[in-house]
Amino acid sequence: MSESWPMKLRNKPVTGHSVLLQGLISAFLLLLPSVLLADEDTSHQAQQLINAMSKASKELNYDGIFVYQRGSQIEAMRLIHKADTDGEHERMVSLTGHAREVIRDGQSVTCIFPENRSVMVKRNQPKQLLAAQLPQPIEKIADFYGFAVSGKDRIADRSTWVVNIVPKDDYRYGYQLWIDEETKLLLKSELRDNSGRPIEQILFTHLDVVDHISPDLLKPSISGPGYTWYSGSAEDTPVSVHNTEWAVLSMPRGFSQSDHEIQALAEGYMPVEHMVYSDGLAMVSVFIEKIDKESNEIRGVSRMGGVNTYATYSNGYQVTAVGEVPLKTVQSMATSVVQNR
Amino acid sequence: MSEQSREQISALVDGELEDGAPFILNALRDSQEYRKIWHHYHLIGECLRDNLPRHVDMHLADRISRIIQNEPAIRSAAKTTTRNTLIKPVIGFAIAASVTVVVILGVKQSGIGPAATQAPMVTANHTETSAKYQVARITAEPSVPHQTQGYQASADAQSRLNRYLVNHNEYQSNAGVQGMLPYVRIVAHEVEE
Repeated sequence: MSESWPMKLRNKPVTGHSVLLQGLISAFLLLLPSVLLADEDTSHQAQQLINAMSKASKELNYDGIFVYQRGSQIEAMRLIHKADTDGEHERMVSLTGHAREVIRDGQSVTCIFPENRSVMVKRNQPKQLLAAQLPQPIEKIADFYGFAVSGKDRIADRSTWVVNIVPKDDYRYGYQLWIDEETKLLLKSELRDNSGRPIEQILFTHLDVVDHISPDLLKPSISGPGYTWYSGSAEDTPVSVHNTEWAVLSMPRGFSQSDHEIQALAEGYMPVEHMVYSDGLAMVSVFIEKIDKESNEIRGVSRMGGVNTYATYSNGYQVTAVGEVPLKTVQSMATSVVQNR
Repeated sequence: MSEQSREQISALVDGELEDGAPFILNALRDSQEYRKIWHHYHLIGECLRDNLPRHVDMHLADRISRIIQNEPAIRSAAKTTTRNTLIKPVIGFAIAASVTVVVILGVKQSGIGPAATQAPMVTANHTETSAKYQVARITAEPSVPHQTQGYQASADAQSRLNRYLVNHNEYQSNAGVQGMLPYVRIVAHEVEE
């Protein structure tokens, strides 16, 4: 059909194009400073939103239902959070499959697994030690991640900001966060690999932010016969240590040690050294445990949603790095652990 | 909807429908109205049997299916799994499966050498209980000699990883910036692969 067009008509769009293109380029050049400025603005806004989110998640009372998905697996859970003068109290319970629960407060973390009637209790560190593991200011994190607000969305019937956290290298993962405009609570989150594919995500389908949370809602739903409850005494808390004979030689830029503790575990286990490294956002734990029977060693990789684990064994010690980071990060950290003596 | 259809749905819910099952099943597949009735009858039944939780979210299932339909992660999941076959999990983080005893994560005084292992711990019959539970899938890495671990060793190894994970999560949960709810991975059920 175009062959029947007069020559000048066919030529015309070409001229039109180049004029249009020139116009666009000059318009773009004119706009460039403001574009850059706008980008800068959302980075700052994104960081403010993330800070507000961290504060809100710790300080508000809320009760919500969310979906957790990793790979092809999807589950529904309920999260109840209460903050009062005693600190935070939280209960997360699975609504699908076995009613697993994790209940935590300032003193302990209790994990309940109804399918085999077992309960696992971890005593927390005394509060004053927590200062050591406070995260770095978000400006520091900005050296390793880019921040942007990419728009708005609606989650659980609430209007949210969409915030992107994109790592600047491939030693860490990125996030897309949906933060409630009103309460600043996290309503949806995707952990993304280096090609931007979601590895796992949570999504609230319903969330109530309330003035009071009944203490009953924070009690475990299981009790009584069949379960054996053990609790340690108050002194049974891990202790922080500041000098160690262990060092991690290789880790991605920006990671630094944020805490270190030694804890004894159950009977029959040797004490475990636990070193925590963070770039301000991602966290990697390195566990070092002397194991007496060589047959009990673990070697290799394990993956659970966004958590990668790399275990290695040398000279009677089990060294394991665990973190919400790509496999190569835990691998390089675990394999570079040396004993300084 | 006819009274007869309602009765048939009711009978189906109670497991008492003998004739007409194919018709009702087809109708359930095709009709939102039929499914609604079916759902209501189930709800009534659970209510009569006192099986209901404090809150019933009538639309949860709908919302979840909608989300699944629109989720790029689900759509790309098939691709992801095939691509990751090179990375074989050595040990599944089968959390509950190996938490066979109550483990109190307690203290050891710092400054004492590794010899100090007499930490104050509750006594739990570890050997006896752990044998009942799932064996960790332990395979050797290609580069290391094949391991000859027994049942007990596997459970031990897995239990150790679980403890590590809980400890790691505790730090994660105290971090200032959290992109994910830390304990979600403990509450979540392990996938059989």
